[in-house]
Amino acid sequence: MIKDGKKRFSAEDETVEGKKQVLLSVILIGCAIVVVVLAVASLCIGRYSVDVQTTLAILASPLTHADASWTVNDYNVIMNIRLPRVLAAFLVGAALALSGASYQGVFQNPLVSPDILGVSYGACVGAALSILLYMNTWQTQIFAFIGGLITVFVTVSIPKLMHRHTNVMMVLSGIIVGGFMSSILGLMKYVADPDTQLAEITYWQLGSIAKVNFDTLLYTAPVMIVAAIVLVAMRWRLNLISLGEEEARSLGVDLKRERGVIIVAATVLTASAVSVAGTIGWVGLIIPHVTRRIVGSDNKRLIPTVILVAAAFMLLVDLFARNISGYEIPLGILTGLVGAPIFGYILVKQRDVD
Amino acid sequence: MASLLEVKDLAFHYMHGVDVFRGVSFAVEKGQMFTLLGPNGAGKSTLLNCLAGLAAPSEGYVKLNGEDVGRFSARALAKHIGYVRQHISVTYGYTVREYLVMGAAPRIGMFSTPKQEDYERVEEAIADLSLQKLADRAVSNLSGGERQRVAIARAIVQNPEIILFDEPTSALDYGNQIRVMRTMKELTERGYTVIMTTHNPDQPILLGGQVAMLKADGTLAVGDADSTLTSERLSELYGTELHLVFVDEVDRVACVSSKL
Repeated sequence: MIKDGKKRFSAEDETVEGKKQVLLSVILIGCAIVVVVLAVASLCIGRYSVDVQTTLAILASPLTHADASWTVNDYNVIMNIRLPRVLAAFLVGAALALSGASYQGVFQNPLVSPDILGVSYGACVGAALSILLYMNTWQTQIFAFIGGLITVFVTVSIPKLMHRHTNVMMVLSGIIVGGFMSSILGLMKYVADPDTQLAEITYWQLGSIAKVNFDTLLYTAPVMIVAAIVLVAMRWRLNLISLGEEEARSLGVDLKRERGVIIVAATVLTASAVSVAGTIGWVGLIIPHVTRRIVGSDNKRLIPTVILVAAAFMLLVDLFARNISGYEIPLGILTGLVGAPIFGYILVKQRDVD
Repeated sequence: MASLLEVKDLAFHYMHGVDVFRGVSFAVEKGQMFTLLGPNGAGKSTLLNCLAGLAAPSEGYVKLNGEDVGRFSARALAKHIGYVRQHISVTYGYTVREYLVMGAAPRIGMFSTPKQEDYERVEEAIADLSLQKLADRAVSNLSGGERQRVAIARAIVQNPEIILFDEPTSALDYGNQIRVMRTMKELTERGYTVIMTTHNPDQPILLGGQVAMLKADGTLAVGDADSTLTSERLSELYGTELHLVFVDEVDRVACVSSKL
């Protein structure tokens, strides 16, 4: 029965959303502190360790112009080797998880990840091709980027050609194209020179940010930041689109346009992440799931939190990758070792709830 | 002056030529309770989708305030027409509050999020439909009756002129059916125009207002529920013998079938 809501509406109710916003701010600040701590730790810790004070002084030196109380080695390790790597970990983690959460919303499918559109594989094929053609680093980045974008275009075109614009068809199309791309990659590895090229392609495929430098970031970071801003701005639209086509349309969503913008932005992020670090699996799948358990499903809160949680996760994984053994472990292997059990745990818990 | 919603010679058939319905004509005025009554397979849900601009009719037109609904953008149409579906399936664990504020979408820009006034409207709708106890629970964990109330509350947040209900009671027990119908009647008293589909002839009798009796091959009759619903027409509509009998205890007619 309808009661007159206006009269019963009290000032107390007004604060429900306000309280949630305050809680979100606290969570975001907490995550940001963890990210900063991990970033500083990543800069200090390694085979060549530098103490925190010196690290912070080196970081501040471009602004303070303070007298150097550190060695040239200290400076090089912090500024030229570890800092780009820390920034890359932040950007790659955030990009993969942000695009994962966006795909999950847009396809109404919590099991979807950046890999589903085949972008990772397409970008890998692009990178492998450039290695086969003996191209330099930045050309490799561009090829990976183009490979990723072409793959998405094909994946999105298949349902169009079949006149079946369903979400399931899109996911199936992604599996088809991704599978095809990984076969091409296999073929490329088969014809690659085993002494030089094969190792490089394999290294790319496993995922690592060890070789990242400021030049690499200069090409990719601005694109990633623009795409991330678009997705953050449209985060609440993801809620609407995730209700399904008919519901979204009857709530006034211009589905074709809004879904298109989100898919393109998410794909640019994935392709950029792959072009920086190769294929690093699981991050785009599990980080949104873990984050939903912290802030709930509302993308208005989920999307900003996902960025920081993923960045923290990636920094932590990279810290382990560098320091756990004498050799550096590829990131893709570690994220798989951590991600797969976490996802299994989430699935089991999910079943308990259902 | 043009009717609020005018449906003229509407037909819908699939590309391979199978008719879903044809020859449907009626007009809905502001503040009316309008029931689309018909048997299974009469194309009621497809018709409702045509009214909502979600399906394009093969022939005829649907005009909202004199303009073809096909010419409205999704956002413009959503300001006029809300849609309460038979089943609500939600993939993610949105709470009732998070779900309700989505009703404000037609007023919120593409790169924006809900404002304080939208959340205030949600609290009003929660109070309207006495959803306080459900407000922070996940929609996906609610029962069918609870979900139906939440869907109606979201339509109130949306605040369109017309609210469409697709078989709103078909999945509900008898008590919840009556409660939902009472809510729909109250919506018309608040000035909303309510259009609903049903296959239960007792519902237009209870709700009053206007009724269109729909068969796959056209509209059988349109008009006041009191005068339009007759034993003969109902028997023809459902292809079985039905009787309208007056029940003294409740002071109304009821539709009953003959013995099996």
